[in-house]
Amino acid sequence: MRKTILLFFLTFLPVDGFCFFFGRGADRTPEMFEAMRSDFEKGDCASVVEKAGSFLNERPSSVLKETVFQYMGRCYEREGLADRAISLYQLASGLYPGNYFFAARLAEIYLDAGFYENSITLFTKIISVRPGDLEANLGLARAYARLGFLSRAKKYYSRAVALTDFGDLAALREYASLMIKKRDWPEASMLAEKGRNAEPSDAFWPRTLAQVWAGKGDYEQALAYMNSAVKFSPKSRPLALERALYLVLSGNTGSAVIGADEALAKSPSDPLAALIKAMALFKEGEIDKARSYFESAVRDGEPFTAKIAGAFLKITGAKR
Amino acid sequence: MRFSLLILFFCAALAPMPGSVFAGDTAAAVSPSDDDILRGALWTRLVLSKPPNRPTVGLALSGGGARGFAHAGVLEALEYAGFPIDMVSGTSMGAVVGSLYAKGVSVEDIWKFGVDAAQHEVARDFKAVRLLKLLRADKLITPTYIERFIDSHLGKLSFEKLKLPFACVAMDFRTGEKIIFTEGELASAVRASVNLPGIFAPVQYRHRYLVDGGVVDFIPIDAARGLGADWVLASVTESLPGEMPENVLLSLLQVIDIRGSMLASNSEKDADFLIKPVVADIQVADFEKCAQAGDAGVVEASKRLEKAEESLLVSSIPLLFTKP
Repeated sequence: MRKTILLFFLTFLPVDGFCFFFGRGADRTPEMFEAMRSDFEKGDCASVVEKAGSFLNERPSSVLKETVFQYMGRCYEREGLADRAISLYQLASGLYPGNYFFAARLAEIYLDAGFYENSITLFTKIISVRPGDLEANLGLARAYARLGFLSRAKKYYSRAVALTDFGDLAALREYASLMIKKRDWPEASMLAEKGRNAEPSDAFWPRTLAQVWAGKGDYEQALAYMNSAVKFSPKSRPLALERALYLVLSGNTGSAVIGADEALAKSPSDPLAALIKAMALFKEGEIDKARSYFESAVRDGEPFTAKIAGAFLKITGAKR
Repeated sequence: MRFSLLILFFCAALAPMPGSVFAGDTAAAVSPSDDDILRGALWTRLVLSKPPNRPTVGLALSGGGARGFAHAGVLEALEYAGFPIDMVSGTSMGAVVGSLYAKGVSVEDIWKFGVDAAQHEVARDFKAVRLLKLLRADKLITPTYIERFIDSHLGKLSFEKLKLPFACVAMDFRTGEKIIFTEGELASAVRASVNLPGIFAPVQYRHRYLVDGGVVDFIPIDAARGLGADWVLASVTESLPGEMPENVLLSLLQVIDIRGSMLASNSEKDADFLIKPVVADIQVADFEKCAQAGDAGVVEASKRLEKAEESLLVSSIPLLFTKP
């Protein structure tokens, strides 16, 4: 009799109650997961995030949940919800310590947000387990570089570019620029040659080599590379004026004036061109002619350009 | 009419900015600002120049105990930039770091001294001091480990044998006079500069009883000018005592530190450029944290480097443009 009553009771038990007593019904999670994967691949992050709640309530398998956490995290990032992404990645890192995707994304977010020390801790942890992880090596290099630890940054940039056999040209540029900043001429030169071989008509690489030679004090070589850079980017104002600056600094004031005049013909109030022309005239002893160009640079120049022009003006005033 | 204006505005927005990016590049290139181009080119020139084609540059390093190791980090950042340093002055820990640098010890090796500070047992001289011990002994103690460190690294050197002109500051315990050392035996002078009054016995040198210079001149900017510096960059380790000191020595250190900070706030304005590493959370005797202080030095100096370069460049006009 008691068995009959129990059977009767169970027959009319609501579904949730049934699951409570006897476990889940048909597993809907693979189907839900497929839908979320499809949404994620289509870039429909709103739908991924919307479905995630009910998916997780279905108590999916650990493997599916791990992947969905990845989708959710990337979606939060795409939607600019960094705080939610951080919370999710922190949770997922704890649940899946062997999956370095979460730690890597967390480290990237910290890096972008300027929390360099936090990102260094995470990238270092990843590299200790996976020394060949390209993104982690690059991330660690960037974090060190932004804090000013250029030697430490060099170690990881070096490893990152080697991992791609110098094929990641964006990373190669970053690394070369860092070596210019560190005044590591041999390394910068080697990287610039690699870059030039890969992109023979790109102005970036001869400009880098020009900076290397100027750093060594050889303006003749520097100008040869700068000419080549200008040839590849003939419309570039910054390159033309950097070349004109090298001309002034190498004592070739006549050519510097010609270079500055070309820029001034296009834009008569160009402050850097005005300063370069003024410095060239100053060097030639044409103090009075230089004054109006210094004044123009003080008036229209960026802060440092204006300060340098101002310092010259003081001198030219005294020499008058 | 409004539609035409809109079209015009749209076209203008699409048109390439004159000289924005290296036009014609296949890959995106970072567009440097005018200031970046000018600073880069002039700085390269300045680094290669020698006085009188640029001002003589002095580096003044403050005291600060273990915090003073931040100076090693500042030196590292300056070295990356090729920042010229023609003379060095230091007080207390600044005298230790400065003398090693003036001797020609590489920044990398100076770092190693800091990282190994615990092994050098320098901290022992500070942390082992207890009031009872002092009272029982009824005399001031000798900082054995500090002496050993200075003797082993500066040995029998004289100021005259250093690669860069160097000055360090101490105080005459009897008269309160500030003593600036620029010649003679180096180790005694540095030892005097780092010698805490009231705990460590005064260093007897040239008929004087000498103690830590931080009490009278926390940032030796005058000393650097005395060596002939036209332009002085000062590295100052700020104090912000928040914890109660553990023992009599640390109490005294804190008093000296507070006094040093007061002196620093007065003398900072005499520097041409200041770098203040953020090391307030490191205690004066935390020699285990030297590496942390050094890191703080790198970070702060790197942040301020462009401004420091600009300041020196402006001061170098027109020397940079005159014939050698």
